[in-house]
Amino acid sequence: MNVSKVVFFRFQAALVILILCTLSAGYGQNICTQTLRTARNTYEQGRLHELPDILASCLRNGFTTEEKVEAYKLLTLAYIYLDEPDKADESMLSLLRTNPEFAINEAVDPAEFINLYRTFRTNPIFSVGGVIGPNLTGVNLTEANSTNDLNGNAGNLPGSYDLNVAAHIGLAFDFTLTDKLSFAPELHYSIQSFKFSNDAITTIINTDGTVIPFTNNQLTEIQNRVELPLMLRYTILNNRFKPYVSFGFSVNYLINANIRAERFVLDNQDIRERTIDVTDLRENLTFSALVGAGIKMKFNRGLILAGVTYAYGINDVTASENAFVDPELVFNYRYVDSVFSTNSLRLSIGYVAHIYNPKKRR
Amino acid sequence: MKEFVETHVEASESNPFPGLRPFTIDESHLFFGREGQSDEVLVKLSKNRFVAVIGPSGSGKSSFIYCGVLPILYGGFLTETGPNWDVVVTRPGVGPIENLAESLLQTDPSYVVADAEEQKIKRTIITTLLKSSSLGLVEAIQQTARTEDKNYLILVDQFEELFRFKDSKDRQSVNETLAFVNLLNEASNYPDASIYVAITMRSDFIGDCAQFPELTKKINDSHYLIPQLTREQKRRAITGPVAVGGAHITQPLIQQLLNDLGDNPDQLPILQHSLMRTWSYWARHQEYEDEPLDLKHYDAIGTMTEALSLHANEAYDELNEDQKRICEVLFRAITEKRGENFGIRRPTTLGDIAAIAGVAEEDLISVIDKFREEGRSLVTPNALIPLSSNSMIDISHESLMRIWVRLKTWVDEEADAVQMYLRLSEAAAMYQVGKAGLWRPPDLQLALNWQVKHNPTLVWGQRYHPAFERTIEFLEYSKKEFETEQQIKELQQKRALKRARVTALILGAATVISIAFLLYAFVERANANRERDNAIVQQTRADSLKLVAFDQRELAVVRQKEAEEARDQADSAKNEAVRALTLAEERRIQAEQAESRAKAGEAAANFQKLVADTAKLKAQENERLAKQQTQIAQEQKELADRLRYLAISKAMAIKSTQIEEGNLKGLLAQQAYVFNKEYDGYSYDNDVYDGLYYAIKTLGDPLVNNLDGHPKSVRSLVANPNGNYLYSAGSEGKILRWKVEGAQRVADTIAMVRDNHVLRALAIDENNKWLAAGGEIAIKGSDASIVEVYDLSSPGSKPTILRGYNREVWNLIFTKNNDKDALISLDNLGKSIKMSDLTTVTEVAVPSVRLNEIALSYDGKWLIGAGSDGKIYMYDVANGFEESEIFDNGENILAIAFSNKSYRFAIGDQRGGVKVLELSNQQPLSFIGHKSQIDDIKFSNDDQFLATASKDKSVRLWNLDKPNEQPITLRDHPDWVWTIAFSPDNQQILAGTQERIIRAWPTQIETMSDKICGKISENFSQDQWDVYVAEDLDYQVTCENLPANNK
Repeated sequence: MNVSKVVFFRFQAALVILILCTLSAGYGQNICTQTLRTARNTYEQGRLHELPDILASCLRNGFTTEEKVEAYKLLTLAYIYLDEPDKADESMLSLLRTNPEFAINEAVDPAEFINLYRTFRTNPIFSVGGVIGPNLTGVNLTEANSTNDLNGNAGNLPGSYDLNVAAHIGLAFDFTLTDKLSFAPELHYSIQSFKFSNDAITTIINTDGTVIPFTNNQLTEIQNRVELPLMLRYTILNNRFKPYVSFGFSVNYLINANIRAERFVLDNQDIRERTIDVTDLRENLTFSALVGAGIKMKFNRGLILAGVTYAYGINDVTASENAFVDPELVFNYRYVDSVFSTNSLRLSIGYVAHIYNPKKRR
Repeated sequence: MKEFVETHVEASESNPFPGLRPFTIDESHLFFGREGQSDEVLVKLSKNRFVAVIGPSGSGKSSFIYCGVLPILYGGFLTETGPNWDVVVTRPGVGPIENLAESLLQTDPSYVVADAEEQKIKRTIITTLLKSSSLGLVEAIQQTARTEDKNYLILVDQFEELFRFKDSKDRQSVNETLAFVNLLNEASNYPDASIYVAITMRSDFIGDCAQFPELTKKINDSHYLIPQLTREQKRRAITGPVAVGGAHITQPLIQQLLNDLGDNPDQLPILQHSLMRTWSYWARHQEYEDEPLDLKHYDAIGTMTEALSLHANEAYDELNEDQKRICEVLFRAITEKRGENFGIRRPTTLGDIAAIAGVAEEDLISVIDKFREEGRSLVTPNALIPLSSNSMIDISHESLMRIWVRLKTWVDEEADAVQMYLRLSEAAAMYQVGKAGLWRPPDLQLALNWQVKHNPTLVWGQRYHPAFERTIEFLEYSKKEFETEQQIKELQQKRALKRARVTALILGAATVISIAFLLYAFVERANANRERDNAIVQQTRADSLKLVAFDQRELAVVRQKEAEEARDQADSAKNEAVRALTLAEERRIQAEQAESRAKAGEAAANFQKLVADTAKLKAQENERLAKQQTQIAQEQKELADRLRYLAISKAMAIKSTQIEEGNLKGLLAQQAYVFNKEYDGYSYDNDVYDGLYYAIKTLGDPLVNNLDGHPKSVRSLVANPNGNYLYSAGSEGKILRWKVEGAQRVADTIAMVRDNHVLRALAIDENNKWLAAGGEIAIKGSDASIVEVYDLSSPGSKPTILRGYNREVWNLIFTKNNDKDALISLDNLGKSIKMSDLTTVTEVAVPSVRLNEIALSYDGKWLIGAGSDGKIYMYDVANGFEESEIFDNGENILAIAFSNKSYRFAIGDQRGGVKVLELSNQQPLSFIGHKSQIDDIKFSNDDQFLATASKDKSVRLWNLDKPNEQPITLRDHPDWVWTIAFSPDNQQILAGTQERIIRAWPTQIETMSDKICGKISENFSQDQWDVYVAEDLDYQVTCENLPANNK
C-alpha cells in the first residue's frame, strides 16, 4: 500500500467519523426536540413529577438555547406546582443564566411564575461596548493673534480657521440608575482636526496694477487625544427607539498635536509641505462641557447607540506666550497661534452589550 | 620716552598688574615668569638684525619684548654692539608708514615739544621720505641720528595688524603694506646702519607673511616661538608682582587662579585683568594690615569668569542715556557675528563709527574713553594714544565678547538686524527687477519693527549692502500698499459675511424641514410595526384555534367509534332478543302440538278414559308447563327489549354530543334520558349525563354557565352546606363571593387583585362568620407568611392578619377549640401544623414527614395528613396531636378529605389513584380513572358522591353507593382542575381551573332533563326518529309539551 492510499483511507475514515458525528448531533437534537414536546404534553396533562427526569439528560446536553429556555421554564413551573420552592429557584436561575433577557408575559404566565420571576434580579448590571464616529472640530477664538496685524487690531484676522472632519473610537459603558436615567462614561481615542488658511500673503503687482496672490498657506492641525467623557443620559420616551438627551463633561488629554503646513506658490514653483510638531505649544489637559441627544435601540442583548454630542471647550488649548515661539511657522507659513479653545460636534454610533448576573433577591 | 615711562608709573599707581593691556617697558620689575628666555631672542637679533617673536593671541608677546628683551638691550648686554640704543616702537594700524613716521619722530625730543603745525610738517616730511623708496627708513634714521654709535631697534608690535586692517580691495592700502614690509627688509639688510628690526605677531597670521618672500626668509632664519608658561611659571607670574607690591597672597587663591586659568594661553590677559581687579578690590577693602589677597577678594570681583563682564558693566553704568546708546552702536560696529556662538572683532575707524551712530566724533570719543581709561583697557588703542577720526577702535580681547553678557546680546541683535536688512535689501532688489512683489505681513510687520528698533543709518546700511536707500524706499512703499489693500479687504469681508448669513438661514430652514420629515417617517414606521405585531398575534390565535379544532375532530372520531361499538352491542342484544323470541315461538308451537296431540288422544281417551284422564292430567300439566314456558319467553323478550332500549339510549346520548344543532342535540339527549329512565337504566349514567350536559350547554342554559371573575388560576373554592354562598380565591390574590340570583351566579369582591398573593387555601366556619385565606403571601426579606381572616358579618372591612406562619400556607380548616372558633393550618412547606384562636398562632404539631394536605373529621377529633412518603398520618386532636401512621399508599398522596358524617375518608395520589378508607377499617376501596395527580377531593353534602379533581383536566363523580358503576366524568375543562366544591344545595359541583374559569356542573341528571324540553322547539320527525332512534321502534313524543311531528 503506497503512501497516497494510506492518506486516502485516513481521509475517508475521518469523513465517515465526521458524518457520524454530524448525524448523531442532529439525531441528539431531534431526540431532544421530541423530548421537549413530550415534556410539554406531560406538563399539560399534569404529570408534573415526571418532568425532571424527562428533561434531565437533554438539559445537560442536547437542547438548543431556545429549547433550553422553554425546558427550564417548564421545569420551574413543575417545581412551583410540586411545591418545591428551592428547586424552583434553582431552575429559574438556570433559566435566567441561559437567557438573561427572558421576559415574562404578564397576561399569560401563571401568577406563581411571575411572582417567582420578580424575586430575581433580571436587569443588566451594566452595559459595555464601543462607539465610533466622525467628528467636526472648530476653534473658538479667545484672542486673535496674527502676523498680519499691523495696527494691533485683534479683529483684523486675514487668515481664517475652518472646521475639519476627523474621527474617534472608544469604549462605552452604560450604568442604569433609574428607569430613565443612566450614567454613561466613555473612553475615547479621538483624532480632531481643524484648518487655518491665509491667502495672498505675498503678492505680485502686475504691470497693469492688478494684484495677484503669490502664495497661499494651508495649515491643518491634527490632535490625537484621549478623552474621558462622563455623561448622564435621560430617556425622554420609553418607546422602541428610546430617544435620550445627555449632558456631562469630559476630561481630555492631548497626546500630540501636529500641524501639516502646505505652502502653494504661484507659477510652477515648489510647494513646501511639512509637518510640524506643536505638542509643546498646546495645553495637555483640557476640559469640555458636553450636551447631546440620540437614540438607544434594543438590539440582541444590548443597545444600539446613535447620537450626536457637542463638546464645548472650557479652557484654551493654546497660550499667547507661545504664539511666536516657532520661527518656522511664523516665517515660512505666516502662521501665529491665536488663543483658542476647540469645540467639536461628534456623531457616535455604537453598540453596548448588556452584562447580566441574575440572582435571587432577598 | 622718558616722560612716557614716568606718566605711566604714576598712572599705574601702586597696582602691580597691568590688566588687559601688555606690560610696558618700565614695568619690567613686575614682569615674572619668562626669565632666561630673553637671551635667546637677543642672540638671534644680534646675529640676523631681525627677530620675529611669534605666539598665540594673549600669550604675552608684547609684554615679553617690553619687559624681557628691551631692559637687557638697554643694559648693553648685547656684546657686539654699543650700549646706546634707541628703540622705535610702532604699530602698523591702518596707516603703517604714517605710524612708523610718527614713532620715529617721537624719539626726537624737538618734535615732542614743537607746536602742532610744525609737527605736521615734520611728519609729512618723514612720511614722504619713507614712502619714496625702500631705503626710506634707513635714510630717515640717518637724518634723525644724533650720535654715530647709536643702535636703532625698530620694534613693530602687533605686526598682524598689517594684515588685519588691510583693505584688500583698496589698491593703495595693498601697496602701502608692501612698501612697509620692504622698508623693514631694507633697513635690516642695510650694512652701514646698525638698524635692528623686531616684530611681534600672532601665530595664526604667519600664513599671511608668505606673500612677502623676503620677509618669509627672514622669519625662517630668525624667529622665536614664545613658549607656553608652565604651571610654575604661571605661579611666579602671580606671586612675583604681588611680592613687589609688598603684599601676600594666600595659597588657596593661587591654586584657584591656576585652576581657573587652565592651559589656554588666551586666558593670560584675563588672569592679569582678574588679578588687577582683585588687587584693587583688596586695596580698597583691606580689613587689617598685612591681610593677604584671598579667595574672598577674588570671588568679590566675580572670578575670572565674571570679572571682565562686571568691569565692562561698571564702565557702561557710568554712561548717561545718550552715551549708552552710542556705546551700543559702538560695540555693535566693532564686532561681528560669525556662526551660532562665535563672534569676531571687527576693528573700525572712529570716523565710521561716528557716522553709523550719527553722532559727533567728540561724543563718541568721550564714550570710548570710558572704556580705555587707565586700569580698564577694554578697548584699544590704550589710554595714552590720542584718538582721531582715523583711529582704529577695537576691543582689547576677544574674550570680552564671550564674557560680557550685554555685548553678547548686542552682537546677536546686530546679527538679527543685519539679517533682516539683507533680506529686505534682497527683496528690494528682486522687486526692482520685477521678480517679486511688495512685502506683506508678517515679513512687512517684522521689517517695520526692525526699522523702528534699529533706526538704520546710511553708513550702517552700506557696511552690509550698498543699496540702503532703495531698501528703505521699498519698505515704505510696501507698507503703504498693504494698508490700502487692507481697507479693500475689509469691505469685501463685510459683503461675504452678509452672503454667508443668508445662506445659513436657508440651509437652517431646510434642515428643520428635513428633520420634520424624518420624524414623520419614524412615526409611520412605528405604526407599521405595531400593525405587523397585531397581525402576528391574530395569526397565533388563529393557529391555536385550528389546533383546538383538530383536537375536537379527533375526539369526535373517538366518540363515533364508541357509538358504533355501542350500536353493535345493541344490535347483538337485539339479535339475542329475536333468538329468544324464536325459541319462545317454538315452545309455543310445541305446546300447541302437544295440545293437538292431547286433543287427538281424546278419542283414544274415550277408549282408554283412565289412561286418558291420566293423560289429560298429564296434558294439563304439560299445558301449565307450556304456559310457564311462554311466560319465560315473554320475560326474555322484555329483557331483550329493555337492553335494546338502553343500548339505543346510550347510542343516542353519545350521538347527541356529536351533533351541533341544538334542537336535535337536545331531542337525542332527552330521548336517551327517557329510554334510560323508562327501561330502568343506571340513573347516573355517564353517557346520558354527557348528552344532557352538552345539550343544555349548547342550548345556553344558565345552569352550566361558567363563573368568570378571576384573571388567573382559581386555586381554592369553598362552600358551607348551611350557607348560601360559594367563595373562590385565585393566584392573583382576588377573593370572590358567589351567590345565586335567579338562575345566575353573581360575584361580590371580597379582596381585590394583589401582587404576591397566591391564595391556595380558603376556609369558612360553620356559622358563616369567618373566611380565612392563606397561601403564598411573601413578606419581603423574610420567610414569614400570613393568613387573612375576613369578618363576613361586616362586608368590606379589612381582614385580620394572623402572623406567625412560615413560607406557604397550604390548608386552613375551621374547628372549635373549647367551643371557640379555631383555625387549624398546614404551613412551612408541609412541616408544621398550627392552631390559631384568630388572634395568636401556635404550632401544635411537627409532622415527621412533609404533609401535602390535611383533613379534619366531622367531629373535630381526628386530623389526618397526606404524607409525601405515601403514608397517611393521623393526629389525635384531643391528645396533643399525637401522630400515628395508619395507612401506606405507596405513592405520594396529594389530596385527602373526610366525609361529612362519618370517619370515612378519601385520598388521591400523584398518579391519579383514588382510594376510600375508614378510620377503623383500612381496607381501601379503589377508584381508577384519573390519569394525573389529584388536586382536590370532596364528599358531596349527603356523602353519596365523591368528587375528585385532577390535573388531567377532569373531575370525576363517584357514586359511593354503587362503587362499581362508571363515574360521571366531567371533562369540559380547559386546563388543570385545582379545586372543587359542592354547592350548598348539593345540586351543583363547581370546579376551579388553572385557566381562570370556574365550571359549574349539575349533580342531578333530572335537573338537566327538566330543562331540555323548555329549550327546544319541536319533537323528532319520523325520519329523524328512523335515523337516530330505530325504524322498528314505535314513534314516541319526546317532549309532551310539544306536538308530535310524525306526520
